[in-house]
Amino acid sequence: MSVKINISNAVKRYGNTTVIENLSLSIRGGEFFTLLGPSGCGKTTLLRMIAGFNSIEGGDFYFNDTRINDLNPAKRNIGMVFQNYAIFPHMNVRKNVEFGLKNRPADKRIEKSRIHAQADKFLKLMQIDQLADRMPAQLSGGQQQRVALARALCIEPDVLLMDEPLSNLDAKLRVEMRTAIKDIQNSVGITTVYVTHDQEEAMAVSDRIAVMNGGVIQHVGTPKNIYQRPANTFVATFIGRSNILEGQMTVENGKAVVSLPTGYKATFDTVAPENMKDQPVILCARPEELLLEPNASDGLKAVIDSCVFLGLNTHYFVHLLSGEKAEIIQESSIDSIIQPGTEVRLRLNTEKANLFTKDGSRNLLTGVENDLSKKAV
Amino acid sequence: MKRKFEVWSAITWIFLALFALFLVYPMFGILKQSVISSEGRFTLEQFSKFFSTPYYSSTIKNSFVVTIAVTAVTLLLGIPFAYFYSFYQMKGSKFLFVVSILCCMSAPFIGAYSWIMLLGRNGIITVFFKDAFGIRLGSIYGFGGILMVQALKFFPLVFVYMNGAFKSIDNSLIEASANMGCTGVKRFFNVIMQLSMPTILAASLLVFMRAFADFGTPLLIGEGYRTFPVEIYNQYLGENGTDHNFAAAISVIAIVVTAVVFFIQKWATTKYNFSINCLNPVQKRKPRGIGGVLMYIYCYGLIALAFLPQLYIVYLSFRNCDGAVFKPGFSMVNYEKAMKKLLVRSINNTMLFGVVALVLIILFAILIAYLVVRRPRPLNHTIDTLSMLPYIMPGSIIGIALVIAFGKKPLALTGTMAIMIIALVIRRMPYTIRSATATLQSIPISTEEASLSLGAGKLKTFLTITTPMMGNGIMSGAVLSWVAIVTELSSAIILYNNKTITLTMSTYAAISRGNDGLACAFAAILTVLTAISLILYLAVTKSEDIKL
Repeated sequence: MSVKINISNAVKRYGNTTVIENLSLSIRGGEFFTLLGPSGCGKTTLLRMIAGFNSIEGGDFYFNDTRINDLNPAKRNIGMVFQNYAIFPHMNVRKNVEFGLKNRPADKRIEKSRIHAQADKFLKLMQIDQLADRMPAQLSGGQQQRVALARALCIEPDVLLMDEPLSNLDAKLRVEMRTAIKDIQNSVGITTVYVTHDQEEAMAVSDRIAVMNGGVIQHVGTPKNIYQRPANTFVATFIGRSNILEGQMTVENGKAVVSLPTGYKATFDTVAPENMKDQPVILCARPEELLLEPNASDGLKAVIDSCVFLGLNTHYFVHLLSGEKAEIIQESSIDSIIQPGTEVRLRLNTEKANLFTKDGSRNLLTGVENDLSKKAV
Repeated sequence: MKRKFEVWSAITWIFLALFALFLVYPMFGILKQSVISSEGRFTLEQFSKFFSTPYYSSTIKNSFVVTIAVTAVTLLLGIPFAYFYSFYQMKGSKFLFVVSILCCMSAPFIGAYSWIMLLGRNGIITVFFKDAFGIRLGSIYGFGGILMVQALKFFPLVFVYMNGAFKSIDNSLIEASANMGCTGVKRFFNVIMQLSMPTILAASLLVFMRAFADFGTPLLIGEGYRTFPVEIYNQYLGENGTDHNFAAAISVIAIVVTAVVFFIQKWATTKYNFSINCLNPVQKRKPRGIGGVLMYIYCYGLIALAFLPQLYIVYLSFRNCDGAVFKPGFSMVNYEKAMKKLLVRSINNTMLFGVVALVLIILFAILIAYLVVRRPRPLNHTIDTLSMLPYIMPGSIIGIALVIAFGKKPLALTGTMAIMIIALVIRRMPYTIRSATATLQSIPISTEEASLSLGAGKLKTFLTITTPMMGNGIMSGAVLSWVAIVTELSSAIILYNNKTITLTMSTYAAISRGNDGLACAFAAILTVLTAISLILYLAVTKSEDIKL
């Protein structure tokens, strides 16, 4: 029985500053849900409100049908993994993992004889059963991470909360651990809320992602949808990179045509029917959505400023005739790299590129799935 | 959200009540006695008497002059010592460290007493020079004697502090300055000293406070050079013409002076507000050549000189002695005499007071640290501030304040064991609270949150997670508090009687009666007791991270 989390109209204040105002969110049972955003966006604050370490100044937090606003953190049946792991330094690995089992509330108490077996099960699951008698100081960062996760899962919590759990690990271990975390979550099937500022990590592990900025949720959706059809320009630029170009949309023969100041025109088939009207727009093209056309005579004119060869891909930094700068990623070819100063022609992949209103607040295309506006599932 | 009643709120109020009763009320008593005459009138007569009579006002000046001199000399002795110790691989460095701790933690007057036995009028060295060469050594009594005894006793404080500072300097800073052409003496003054400035200030304050309030040393060796702690004692308990109101007035002046110094130091420290992120500690070099030899001579010579008094006292305690005259040959006669002179009671009392006071101090320190760090509310900050009051109060003043406050009904506690313990708790509590607070601040709160989220209640988390994690920090503070309690003199001398006599007081009583053999026996037991405590502690902790 996995637990779903419903948050409605949450408010968080520190003194007179409001960090989160009127935030609503629903997280499905058994789902791996990530809060993603730049530092200071309120994601950790929200997580700690769910955990019960931050007071809640307004709104309702529900686990299934139980309101948890005033429930003691010890009684919420939550497993939490902290950024610095928070392993008890004066207890060995086994004692750390068993700690939660020995402190179960009266209705969930497990017999003493089963504590050992239960701890063993999760030590094995996290592949740290050989380390059971070690003290935390003798463990590497990755091992401490596994202990923290084993400890959190061992009590079979309703909800698993993770606060930037991988940020203290080196790059290689981070990739290894995030796969491990995803696999464990899959096999245990526990509702998980994960906080990170690393978008690649978020994409790798999450079923759904909520992108936050300034205490407001911008977009809730699958990694694929958030990347391909971002709800606004903030999401478009925060998740991956995007070239932002100003343009004008006109409806010609029932088709949306976007023209750039330099005269380049592109036809979009993906504009939502209700947005089909003449209006200024922002054209948002990811570096891989601008294609270099070395031999074309038409297309968007650009001059190469510099290039970086990264093996699989080559990055080109260019400026357009309007003076706007853009970045292009192309799969590296065996031919020589295009030299700086060369004038090139670009073609826009109109199937993939996005159009936003002039203020950048709304995507004009079809296919944007933002669960934020939907009712709880 | 309505705040639920917490057990911590109750603890806050309990501490406020305790502090009001045992700190604020006695302080107020001293202030009152200094401005209310025996007829019950308000008067500033005592203060004007103090400042208009050079005989009295000179005591503050004397204390100031000698204390500043002591502070300067300890810095001059201690900083090079710490530099050699921290930057070079000295042979026997562990030994140097242990002995210097033993020196600065010895009972406050044993050094002075032992130096009198060595260099005083009938001191062994004085007599030797007079008989053998006909040379008269200068007098050890007065300014010079106080300076020498205190400097040799307190320079290890500077050493321990500076060693901590030097260890926190990142090697890359040293390398960077070498890279930019700054090495040797220039680097020592322009880089290393600058980086250590907050610690130098902290160590200076500590030495200043200790030396300024030191009562035993000037009492024994000061003679004509009169300092104010001795004057307070004389005015309060002296043999002729005591004046309690006047003693209270001098106490108030002394508290104001130490408070001013305390705040000046705090202000000066804010000028050096930076932190070093030390990833690579400094690599110790091997001492080489003539410089290396001089380094060894300096360090071992200084330590030998500082440790000599304690060894000499232990040696004397086994010499035959009749009254004040030591005779050839060795025996246990001094210890036999000590047995008749309340030795057992002194040891029992010392141990009892020490253990009870220590338990209370640790309990209070843990609770107050928790209140201050984890429940930062105005009331708890008040507790924190109040708990620091004794830091600026010399021990003899605390003694007098307690006598004034609890000398009569309804709270007649003078002469009881309770008041001795209260005095000890008040004296040492600020230090242990500091180290407990610092320890708790360095523990991330997420560890406690992890425990809460795993289902342990608040109280259980405090007992099974917070307290054990604070353990190390508390223990290092506690052992040093234990030694300070065992060797306490200045407040005890005001409060003790025959029933509550301790080892320090027995030693002092024997010295003041001129019973040197007996005094040496008591002093030797005290010295060995503190030495054993410290060596046990140093063996267990292995750390050099000592907060004195």
